[in-house]
Amino acid sequence: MAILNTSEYPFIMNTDLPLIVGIGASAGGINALTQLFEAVPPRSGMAFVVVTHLNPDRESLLHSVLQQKTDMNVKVARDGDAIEADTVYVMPERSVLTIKDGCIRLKQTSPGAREHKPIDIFFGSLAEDQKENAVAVVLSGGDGDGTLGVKIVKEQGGVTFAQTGDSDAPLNAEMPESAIASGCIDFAIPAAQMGQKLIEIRDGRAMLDALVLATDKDHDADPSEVQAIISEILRKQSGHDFSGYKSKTFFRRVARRMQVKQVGDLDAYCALLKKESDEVKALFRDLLISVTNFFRDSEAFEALEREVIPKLCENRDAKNPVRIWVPACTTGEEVYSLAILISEHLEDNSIVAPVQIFATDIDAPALAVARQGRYPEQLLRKVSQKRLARHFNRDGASYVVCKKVREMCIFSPHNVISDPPFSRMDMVSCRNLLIYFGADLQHQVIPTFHYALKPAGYLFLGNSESISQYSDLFSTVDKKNRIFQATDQGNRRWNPSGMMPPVHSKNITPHDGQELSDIQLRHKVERHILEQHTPAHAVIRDDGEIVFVSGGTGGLLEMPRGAPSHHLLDMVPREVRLELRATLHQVVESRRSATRNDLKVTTASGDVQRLNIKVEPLRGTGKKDQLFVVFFQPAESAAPDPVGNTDDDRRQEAAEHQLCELRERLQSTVEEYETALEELKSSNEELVSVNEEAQSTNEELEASKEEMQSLNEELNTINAELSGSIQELDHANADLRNLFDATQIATVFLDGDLVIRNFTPAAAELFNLRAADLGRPLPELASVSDYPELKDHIREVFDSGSVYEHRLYRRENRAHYLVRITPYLGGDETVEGAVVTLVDVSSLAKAEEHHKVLIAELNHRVKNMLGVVITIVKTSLRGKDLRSDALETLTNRLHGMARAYNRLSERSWTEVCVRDIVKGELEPFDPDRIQTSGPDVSLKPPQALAMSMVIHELATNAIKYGALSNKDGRIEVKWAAKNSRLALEWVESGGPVAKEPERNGFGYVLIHGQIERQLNGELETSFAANGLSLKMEFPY
Amino acid sequence: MTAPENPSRILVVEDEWLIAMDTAMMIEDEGHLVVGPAANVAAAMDLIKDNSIDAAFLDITLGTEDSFPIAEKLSEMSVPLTFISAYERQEIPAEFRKFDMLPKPITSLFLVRQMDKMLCKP
Repeated sequence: MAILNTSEYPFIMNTDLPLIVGIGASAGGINALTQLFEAVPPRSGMAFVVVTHLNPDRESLLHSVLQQKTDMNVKVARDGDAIEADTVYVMPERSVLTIKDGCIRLKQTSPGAREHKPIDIFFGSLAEDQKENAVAVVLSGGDGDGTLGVKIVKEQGGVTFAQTGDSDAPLNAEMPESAIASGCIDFAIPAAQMGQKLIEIRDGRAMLDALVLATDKDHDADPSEVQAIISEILRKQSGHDFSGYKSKTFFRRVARRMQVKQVGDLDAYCALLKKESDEVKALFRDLLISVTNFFRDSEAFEALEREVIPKLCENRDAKNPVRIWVPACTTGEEVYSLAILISEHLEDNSIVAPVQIFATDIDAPALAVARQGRYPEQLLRKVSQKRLARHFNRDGASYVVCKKVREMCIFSPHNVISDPPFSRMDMVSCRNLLIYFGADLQHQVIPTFHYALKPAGYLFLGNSESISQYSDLFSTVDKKNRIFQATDQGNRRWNPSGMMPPVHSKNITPHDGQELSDIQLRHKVERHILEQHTPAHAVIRDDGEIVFVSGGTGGLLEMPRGAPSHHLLDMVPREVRLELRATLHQVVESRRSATRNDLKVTTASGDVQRLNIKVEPLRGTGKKDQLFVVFFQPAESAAPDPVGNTDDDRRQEAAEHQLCELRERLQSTVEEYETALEELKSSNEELVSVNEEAQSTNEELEASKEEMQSLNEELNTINAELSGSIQELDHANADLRNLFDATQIATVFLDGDLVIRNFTPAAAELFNLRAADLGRPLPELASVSDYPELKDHIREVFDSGSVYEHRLYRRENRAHYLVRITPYLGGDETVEGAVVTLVDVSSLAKAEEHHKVLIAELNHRVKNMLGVVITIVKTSLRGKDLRSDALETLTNRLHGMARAYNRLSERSWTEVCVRDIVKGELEPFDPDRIQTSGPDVSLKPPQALAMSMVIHELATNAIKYGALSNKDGRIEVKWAAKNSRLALEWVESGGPVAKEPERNGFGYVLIHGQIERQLNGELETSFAANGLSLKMEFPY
Repeated sequence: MTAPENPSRILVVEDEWLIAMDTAMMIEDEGHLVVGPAANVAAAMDLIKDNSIDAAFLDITLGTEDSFPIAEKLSEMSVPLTFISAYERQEIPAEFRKFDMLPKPITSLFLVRQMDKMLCKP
């Protein structure tokens, strides 16, 4: 049971894995992809991989185009990506995409090279990797790419789609049509409906599992029983018995069909099978999925190689080619397999002989695929490495049949049922075609094969096909491998009844007892007479093209060598061609019938026949398209005239003489004709090779046309998007322009070379800028000559990348400006230029100026006021009865305060250093007697004031009673800062013996108050014998 | 106060009368003669014209005017002068920063020390 694809791989069904939908598209694909994706919900649980024909020189933007169409995540496929659900992977340009272990594999194509069939290659890997989990979708496109891939997907149990449609038909139907023609497409539906169907398939997978595993005991129907029922239905219709098939395999195919038909259980499916004969055919076809792999059924091919090929190649020479006919060649694997076998035999035995393999099929698209001879590796699994190397050229990820093998094969569209057959064939190989034909069609086709074969020619059939009923026509050579040999029948004739549409007479047999009407009877009679008593004839056009051929021409008409022709003159025996041509010419001219009698013809068997030919215009046909009937009648051999007289003799002599001359002339004409023919042949050969080249060029062109077209579509879509963006940009631009016009802030945009790129009207006014200044460097303008540092400032901004601010006074309009130079950042955050803004801050500057004057005035006034107060105190107390030092102490205190304020105003009321306070207060005294030491500690104004007063009091005290009251006393002032606290020590020595001062003396109160209250600190005093020592500490 | 053997003539320019009086008294306490005090530029210029002057104390702000013309004049005549002002040094024009300057209010100690310096006494 080799034709059924028994599973060669471990049977894995895992509905947890996402369904992986491979989509192949090309020209017109964007539209189709859009329709497809719009019907797929964002959380479908499926993964999509889109493979298209891409131009290697252009970056594909398909992913961004698709992202607009779907809410799923769309990404450019990367090597090693594990495929995840709800994601769309798009193949990038210059690469070949395949799938391995659920991960994407990308291979870069070498520059300049082009992968011809990326979709086939991807589908092939998808099928092998994902088996039943694979879905292949062929959308609009050209070149027949995807057809072979779909075959592999189908063979491995996946589901296949191809785009069709009336109103939304694929823009370029070549790809889907070719896929449909291969017979491996489950759903031929419009792209917009695929989404829905995919969902149904996804949901149906669980059912598929249940069916296939068939472990469910509660199942409605017993599987084995059902298999029997289905097998019976199939047997009735096809005559093929499937009851012996492995049930697992069987049910996998049945389940697949059920899924396609959306039938939920086996009983319902059985009912459907009983009702619809089309479904039976479809199931039958699925069960027999016979991907015609290379050397499929290797045993049969081995037998062929062993037993038939050597005989075929015997006694060949240039004029005696090996002729083989492969009807229904589909995508060509069988044809090339045969060609390889023959080629090997010829080479191994050093035989030089032309080989012609006529490969025909009804489907032109399938032929186009076959003609290219390019196959993904999955289809070449049965081909040995040796053969691969010998007969194939690797091109990217696919294999191309080598030229030598390719040249043996002639592909042409032909219908084995209705077209005239080829003839004089050495072998007819027709595998797995007859199984699809009913008995009546088989009855028609098998004799046709017999007709086409030379005597003893071979017939090679598929493993499940048989010709047992035609044992009179064929003898068996190898029963197991279905190799037969034609028996020589004297009366080889092609039954042309097939020219008429096949009669669907299954149910209407003439023997069903019904009475015939008069007309029917008359027709029957007429037909009987016509068939039995009319001479063989053919109806032709005025150029000799056959329109109709009667029965009985078998011995006369024969397919010519080379491409099939319907020309009568090519089909009649050579001897009568000349006469027939002349007669036909005469009749066409005169429109009267003409006859040629007694023509000699040598039949295929070598007998000499005599023939009368009569040509008549066919009545009732239009003048324009006049038809003619040519009758072929065997001539009664005329009895020679027994009586002769001299007159007759003389005349006969003259006639014979004339005849002789005519013959000679004819002979020379024939010779000339043959020379011309030779020449024609050689030019034909040239043409064939030119044609071959043209064809390959055409293929290249087709491929680039494909790429161009899909690129063009992509660009169109992007263009539309760009138009939208441009509109948005226009809006943004208008907004900016208005902002420019509205803003009063002078702004100039500079590039990296400080060249003006843009400016606001306010800036135009300020710098006298005109439109013509665009493109000139700003620092060179005369209007900025009063700001020579501009260049340096901008340079600084470039270097630092941060904002620079500068105050600029312009004399010409007495205005102050705040110049802000901001870096102009490009898209990648690098500094590409600078933005210079100028804000008029004249009023601010004025206010600041005023503020400064006010502060100075205030400082001035405060000090002046203290001066005045001191003077008033001095003058008003002068001469009063006061203790002599009281006035001095008072004025000194006031002076101390004045000095403290002075220090503060010098520092603009910010901070004052401790050292300055101490030194300032001790300045009037002999510096040799005073030692100060401590770090730089700054005090805030209130602390500085308090500190100043404390030091002043201590100094005053030292003069009066302490170390400065004699000649050698010394003062040491030390301070230190720690933990935000200032510790200051005042130590006197060498003075008179210190006395404890009065507790209520003002100086004492002042020091205590300032330190403990004002400064929130601590004070410690000790009156040692050699002088006062004081420690203070306060926070600062 | 002990009068020096040959008292010097000191010009005092101050628009605040009380301060002018105080300054004058402090100078006189040292036994020198006070020229003025003058409260404005014109009065000071007249005094300079009419008197010989050994040294001068000038307030800078004199109401709406300032004492810089006086300082220039005295400088031309090589008379030593000292500004007594509530302004900071950096607040006055640069060309006048070469002259000595004492902060207001002035104590007699500093005034005397400065006067001795101007009169070149040790």
